[in-house]
Amino acid sequence: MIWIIALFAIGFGIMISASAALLLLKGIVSFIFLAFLPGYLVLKIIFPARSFDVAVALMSSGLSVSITIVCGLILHAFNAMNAFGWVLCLGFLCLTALWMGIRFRVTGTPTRTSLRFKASHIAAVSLALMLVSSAVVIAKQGSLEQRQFSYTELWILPTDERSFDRVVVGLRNEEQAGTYYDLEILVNDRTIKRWPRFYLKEHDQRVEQVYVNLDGEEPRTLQDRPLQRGRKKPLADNPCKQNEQLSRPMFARAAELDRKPCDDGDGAATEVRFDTTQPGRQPAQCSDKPGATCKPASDTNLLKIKTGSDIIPCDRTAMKVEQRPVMIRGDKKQSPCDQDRKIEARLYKNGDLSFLYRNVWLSRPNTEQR
Amino acid sequence: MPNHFPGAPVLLGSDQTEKGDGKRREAGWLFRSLSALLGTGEINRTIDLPSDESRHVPTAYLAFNTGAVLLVAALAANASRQGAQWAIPAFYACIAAIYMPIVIVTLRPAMPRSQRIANVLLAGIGLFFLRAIREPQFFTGHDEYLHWVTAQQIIEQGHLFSANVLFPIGPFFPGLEILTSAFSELSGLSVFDAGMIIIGLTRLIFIGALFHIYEHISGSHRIAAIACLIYMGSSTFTFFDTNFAYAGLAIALLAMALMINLEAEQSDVQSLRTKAALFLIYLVVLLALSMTHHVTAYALAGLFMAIVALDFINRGRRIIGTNLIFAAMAAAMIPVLWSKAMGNPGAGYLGPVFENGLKEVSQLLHFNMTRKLFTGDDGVVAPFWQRYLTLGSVVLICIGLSLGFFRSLRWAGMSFVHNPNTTKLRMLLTWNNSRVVLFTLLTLGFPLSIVFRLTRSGWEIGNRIGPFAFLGVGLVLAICVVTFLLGSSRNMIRTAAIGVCASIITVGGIISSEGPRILVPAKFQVSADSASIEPMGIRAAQWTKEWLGPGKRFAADRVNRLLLSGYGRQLVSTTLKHRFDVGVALVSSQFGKNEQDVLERIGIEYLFADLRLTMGKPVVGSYFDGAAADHMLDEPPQPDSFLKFNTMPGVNRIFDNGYSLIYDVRTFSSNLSTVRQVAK
Repeated sequence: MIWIIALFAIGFGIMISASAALLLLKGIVSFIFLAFLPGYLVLKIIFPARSFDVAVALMSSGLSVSITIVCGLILHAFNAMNAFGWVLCLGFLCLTALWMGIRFRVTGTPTRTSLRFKASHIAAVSLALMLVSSAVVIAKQGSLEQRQFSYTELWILPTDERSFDRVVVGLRNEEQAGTYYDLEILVNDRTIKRWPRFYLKEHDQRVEQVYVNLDGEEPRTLQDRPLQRGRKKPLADNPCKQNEQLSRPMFARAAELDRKPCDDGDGAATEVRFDTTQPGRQPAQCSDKPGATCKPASDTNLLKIKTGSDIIPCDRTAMKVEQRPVMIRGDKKQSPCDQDRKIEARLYKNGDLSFLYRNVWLSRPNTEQR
Repeated sequence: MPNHFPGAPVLLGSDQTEKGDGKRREAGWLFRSLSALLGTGEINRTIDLPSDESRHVPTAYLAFNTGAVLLVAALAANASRQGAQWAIPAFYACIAAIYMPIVIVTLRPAMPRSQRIANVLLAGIGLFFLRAIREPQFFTGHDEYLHWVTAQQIIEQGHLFSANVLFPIGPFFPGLEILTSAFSELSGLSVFDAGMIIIGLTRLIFIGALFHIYEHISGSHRIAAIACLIYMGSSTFTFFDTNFAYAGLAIALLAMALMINLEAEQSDVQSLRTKAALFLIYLVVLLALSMTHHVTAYALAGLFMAIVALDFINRGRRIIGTNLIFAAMAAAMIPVLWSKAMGNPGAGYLGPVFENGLKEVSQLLHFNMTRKLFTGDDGVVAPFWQRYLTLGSVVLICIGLSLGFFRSLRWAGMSFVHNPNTTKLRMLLTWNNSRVVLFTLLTLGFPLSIVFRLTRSGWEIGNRIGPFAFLGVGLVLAICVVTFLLGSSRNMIRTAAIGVCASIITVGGIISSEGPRILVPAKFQVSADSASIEPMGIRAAQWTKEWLGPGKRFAADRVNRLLLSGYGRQLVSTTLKHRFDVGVALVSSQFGKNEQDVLERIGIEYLFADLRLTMGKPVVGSYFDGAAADHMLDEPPQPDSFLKFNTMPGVNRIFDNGYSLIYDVRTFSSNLSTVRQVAK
């Protein structure tokens, strides 16, 4: 009895172990445990004197299969349809059948059938097994090698459901060979990002995050969580809304600033002092570090952030702020977040720049409708 | 006048014909000859000769032959993937090369029982490996994906009965999926590998159980072995029933239930406790069968009821065995109770299939053919050798049934010889083996299955009748062979001729099921299941899971729906589930109010447009569900229909691999959150 329990324990151990090295052993033990043992032990109680033959083996398997299916129903009721549940349920069943066999002494003297095999037969069967295994391996290899289509996958997705300011651009090479690519990202037909001539091995993929503002560069503090009312909290669900919120206080505060003329070496300028020490009022982009300077890009309507000291001695940018405040505030009609953007990816394969290989595009979702 | 055939009977009324004039005498001779041919007289029952081990080929050598042929079959399968024209004929030749030697050896009259069993199991497992060679890497059958999804859901969610949009009835019959998921979880194998091993096992169980059933009811292991081998000629045996689908397991459980019932009726099982224990395990098998497949469970109930009815007719007032009555009652009750507990899902599923099938059969009876024989839906005509082999198979079965039908009834103890002590009706209603009578009567289902196969909608019904009809065909043809065609003769030529005929039956049966599409071709074919499922489509489906996450609502064609559901774990839309055909939105040339309405109603988030659909007509007859979208298409869909979304405001083309596109159409799903909640 002890050795039977020990055997069971080893079997259970193998089955619930996660080792990859034991995969084959796990497969064999699991198969016996699932497709033979329960039925065999039950049949042994019913026909103790019956010798082991093909009929018994088949009935054992058929009964084990049926028992496993019914056990599945029981495990479902206990919400335990996992490896541990199966081991527990079928193990309990097998041990119970064993115990019943011993407890009720349903022992008999099975008639022994002697199996004699000739060496030539054993050799023939061994060869047959080898041939069958080879056949399956060859067929599998043939199936793996059958690649009808050479292609490149290209995709553009927003980084999250609410933001269309950043997108993920990905491509994967399934051309059945290493390939050189050129990738361009366009916003409203204007190239904002380009990855010229890069190489991908077969099955390799490249994924890039792209800021789909018109210059394609990352606003530095976008990754920071904006401060609002003294604690970290997103300003708005839609980052486009964030930008709107950010641009307004920037202009308002710029009007409040103390400014004086200065000379930065290139001639007269205006020295601007930003009051960024009040967390509740400071723009998110200028957060964390006091004295941030907000610098508008020269020819875009996007903000560029530059951190600095409390007092900016002399800054041409600040002068521009004063002179062209509309640039900072942003025109609502021209704001990249408010207009429909057509984001397009163009992929060229193996330097054939005349050949537009793929074209995926993404427009801003209709948030109102949604 | 002497009989020209062995065992020709003294026929009903033959004494009167012998007294007649010349013409009547001639007619009597013809009638007697015909009767002798059909086997209504005495039959030879000494069919199993003492075994002579030195005079037959050992199973080990047959196994070696099987292994070698399988290797050739694997090379043929690979050649087909490269586009070789010889691959398909070679593959069919391999089937014959596995099957024929086993049949020829097993037909011999003097052979030990154990070797007959081994030969039969070898033939079954050899034919199963052909299926493993055909699909060695992933499932390619349409139905396989339906069950695969359910198995994956069980593994992922840890419970049964999760909704499966592809196959709404499937989760209520999760026997196969429970077994596969259990083996997959315990062994660490993938669902595909675990499923293949389970199907291989059920194949062995089925063949072994069938052998025992035939042996029990015929009393001869020779008849049993030959009957099993002829059963393998059923069109569904080699490929359809080895699909990862519930029918394969269910037929094995049906055979197990019949086998256990026969065990309980054996004379050496006298103890009440043993009988009770056998009945208990019979109930377990029955419950497992009810949990696996509704139609097969009802078929078992029908078989048991028919046996009870035949016993009742035969024995009259005499008591029918209680074991049989209890078995029949349980077989009738448990599937019904299970179905009731599940909310009777089968009615809505099976109803339309039978309705359409019967409608088309009635059209057929009015000579209005809905299906063109040997011609696929894509217009491809089967090669001549396939056509002739299929016809040859049907003709040989019909000849075998004609020669074996009455012999089989005679084997059951029915008498066609006039007995002055009983009435003719009473004489015809007397036999001593109701099971053999039942199996003989089951052969009447064979012509019925052929008629259904001639129709488009009824094809499925005919395909399902086949395995049950062949339970009888196997036995009747085996009795015909051992009592008439071969007897106890050791004549090698006759044996080989019967082996060739059996091979034609088997190969013809497989052709009628698989035809020219038995192997995966080199080139992609439109809506052709095994010829449409390939790595690029699988990869696109995996991409959706990786980048969009599982559980998104997709509209796609028939094949990509399977891949999206199986590999992508997405919620795909089907006409069966949603009552609307979203394919309309994909294939219509304009995107109007109706199309938008369909997308809105179902809450479709993404459209999967496979531009390869524009390459040809669908091989299986439909691009989508065979509903509205397919009715719109007389010709392959136009690329412009799929690409119309490119310029549609708010629609994003988020994925492109040059052949397949994924469009984000959430802009149309106005009430998405509500839809999601409903879906959950």
